[in-house]
Amino acid sequence: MPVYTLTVNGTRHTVDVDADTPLLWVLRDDLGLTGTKYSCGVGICGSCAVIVNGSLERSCVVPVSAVDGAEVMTIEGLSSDRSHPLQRAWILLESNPDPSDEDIDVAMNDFLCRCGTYQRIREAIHRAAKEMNDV
Amino acid sequence: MAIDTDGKVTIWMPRPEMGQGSRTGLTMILADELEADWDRIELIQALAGPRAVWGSMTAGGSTSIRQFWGPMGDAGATARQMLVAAAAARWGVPVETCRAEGHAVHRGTTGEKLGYGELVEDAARLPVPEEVVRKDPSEFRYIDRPIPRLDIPSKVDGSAVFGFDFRVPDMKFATIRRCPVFGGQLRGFDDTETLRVNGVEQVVEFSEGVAVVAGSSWAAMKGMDALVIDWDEGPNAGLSSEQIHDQLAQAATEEPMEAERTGDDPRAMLDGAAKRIEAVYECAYVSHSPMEPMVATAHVHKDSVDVWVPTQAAQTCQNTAARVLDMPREQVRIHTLFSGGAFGRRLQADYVSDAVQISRSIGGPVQVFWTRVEDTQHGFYRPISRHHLEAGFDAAGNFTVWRHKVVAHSMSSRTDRVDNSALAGARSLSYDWPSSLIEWKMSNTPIPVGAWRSVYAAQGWFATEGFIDEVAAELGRDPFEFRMELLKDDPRMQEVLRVAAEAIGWSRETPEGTGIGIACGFCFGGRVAHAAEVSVDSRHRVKVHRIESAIDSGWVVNPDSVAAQVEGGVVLALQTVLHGEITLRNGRVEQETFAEFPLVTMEEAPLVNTHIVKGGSPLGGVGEPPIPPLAPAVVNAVYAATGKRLRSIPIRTDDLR
Ligand code: FES
Repeated sequence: MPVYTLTVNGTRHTVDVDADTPLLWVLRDDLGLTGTKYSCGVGICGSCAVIVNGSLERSCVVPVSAVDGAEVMTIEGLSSDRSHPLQRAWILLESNPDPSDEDIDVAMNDFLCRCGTYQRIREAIHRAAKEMNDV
Repeated sequence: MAIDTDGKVTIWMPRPEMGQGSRTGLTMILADELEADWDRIELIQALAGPRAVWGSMTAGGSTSIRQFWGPMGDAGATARQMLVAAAAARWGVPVETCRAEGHAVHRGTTGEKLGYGELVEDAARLPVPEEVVRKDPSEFRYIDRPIPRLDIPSKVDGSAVFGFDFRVPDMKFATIRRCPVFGGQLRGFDDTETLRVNGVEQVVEFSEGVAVVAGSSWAAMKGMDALVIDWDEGPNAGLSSEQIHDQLAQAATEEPMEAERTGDDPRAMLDGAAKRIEAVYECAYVSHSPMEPMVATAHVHKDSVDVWVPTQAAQTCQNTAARVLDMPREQVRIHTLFSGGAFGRRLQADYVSDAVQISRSIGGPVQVFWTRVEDTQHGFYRPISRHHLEAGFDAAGNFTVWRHKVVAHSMSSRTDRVDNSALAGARSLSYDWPSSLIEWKMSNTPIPVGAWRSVYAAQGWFATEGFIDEVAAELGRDPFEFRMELLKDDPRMQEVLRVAAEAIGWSRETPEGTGIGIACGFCFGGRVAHAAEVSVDSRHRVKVHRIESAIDSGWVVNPDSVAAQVEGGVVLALQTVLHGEITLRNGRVEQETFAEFPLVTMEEAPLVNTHIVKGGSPLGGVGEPPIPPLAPAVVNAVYAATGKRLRSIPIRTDDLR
């Protein structure tokens, strides 16, 4: 099997897996980072989202061969002491530090939640934006 | 529970945490009665054990808080009484002069105190008091406060262990396939290509189908895709949704069973009515589709088994594994993990049966997971139902009779008696009908059905609350005031309606294309009214902007958890209104993933404002009651906006053309 190199949350790893193995399963089964979740496996729900070289990707549909050498950040890498003001809507706030409800809805609309926590996610993003702006 | 000499309190949790928050609520109840410091408590999820010890360990029927308010509180209070007695004995003073507060017992007003850790060895030697003295609610320190959820920190940093995240050394990964046609069976398979897939180790048959066992999840899925399976599709290979629809429509024309009758002879009232209106309401099959598909990790040993599983029903898992493996129940260790959503799906132990069979076959530990497609296509769906409603009016225009005939798939499948559970939301309502007739007609299909958050109540209340609006419109009455009048015997239901109506601004004028609707419901001990504000655009798309929700479940342990359940319930129920439908063609479920069974998105999710009404005893449920009134509140609001009645959920844009 081919060998791939990934830097995940700042740590370099080499993995020996089939070229078509989705990044999701490399993270979960080979690197033991189970914070990135499987739910649909087809790129619809966003449960498996990670940051690859600075952009948000759905790791269930990204083959490892396409991200050889990449920098990957997972939920485990955001903060080890939970001090980061936000663990989820990372990218939005980098481009838009003070989003409106509508901005949040647009940015987050393809992240699905069956428990219906949407309004709490909206509130959390507003709160994170405020805390980050206050810093 | 246990207390260590360093004061650490350990609580064994009898019920699972599936996102509903009961882990935090149950801890609050015990810790409050114990007068324990919040940060000195450790939780352990109890292994499945006998009902004689644990009671029911099943999270179902919105019972975790109301059934354990007694035992958890009594445990904390009993321990507190023993610690106080131990302190009084040590000081040689009367018990009455000592009091527990903040993880210590205090001696009168002397300022002297002894920590729980210092007292626990003495306390443990004392007899357990016969009379448990619970706190006065005015002394509560945690109860009725919005204490942050204990499970959330680990869920936002990725360290929480859900079913898919569990690992044990040397475990394999396996994924399964059942016959896509309900009732079909495995005839055989050709695994030549499968065994060529890197990482695939073996292909295993089990009672319900076939599994591919591999060294990684991806290899198992790839191997499954390469497997050539020969199914005997069985007798249902031709079944379609159209046939099922026709079957229920036909059943509705046959003689029903009488379930309830009130007032003057309702049949005579209908026959003699000067005017009658009627309508048919319909509800589709709906899948639970939790974000985490079905999964269980099993390790069958020589004479025992360990199963690590996200479940609502640990004792059911234990019984299932014991039966499948022909092993005494005491040898089955069920370790309950966090569930990535459940909604009733994880009351079933089918996926535990898969896992223990596959572990036995391969002789080692294995995580058996379902793909999203398998999860969508092999559920225990919310039963399809059809509701025939009729109302009669006399010559003076007075409302004289109400009739509701429910035609549905019965989970009890009894032909000799009425299935009262399937009549939730239809019978035993607190509406004071002038006269009424409630009827039942069973119409079962080969589709597996199961409890879906609120079970049958959502379907029954949808029809009831939709048609009440129609009766009010026929009478030219305000639908809120009409309900209030009929509910004069249920002041608590009146109150939740009043609170929701006031919050939404019931009587105000709304702009063109928008409308306000209201509905109420009762199930599992909780009364809820939702008032909905919706708009319908020029392309007939419905948008729900805001839900004002009032809930009365007696009193409250954690108000933030109550609000979370209401918000989540609204979103889950809204999915059944906007999108959620499982359909059949050629005996198989047509939907595969969230592409065909779409969930509500963030844009679609309304703002939900929760208003807690504390109506007093008894303590009721919270998880399910927010579901039933949502669909009717929305369709009633659509009527207010457009003048069109939607009587079938999920709604179709065409219904509004
Ligand atoms: S698992 Fe759903 S998008 Fe990747």
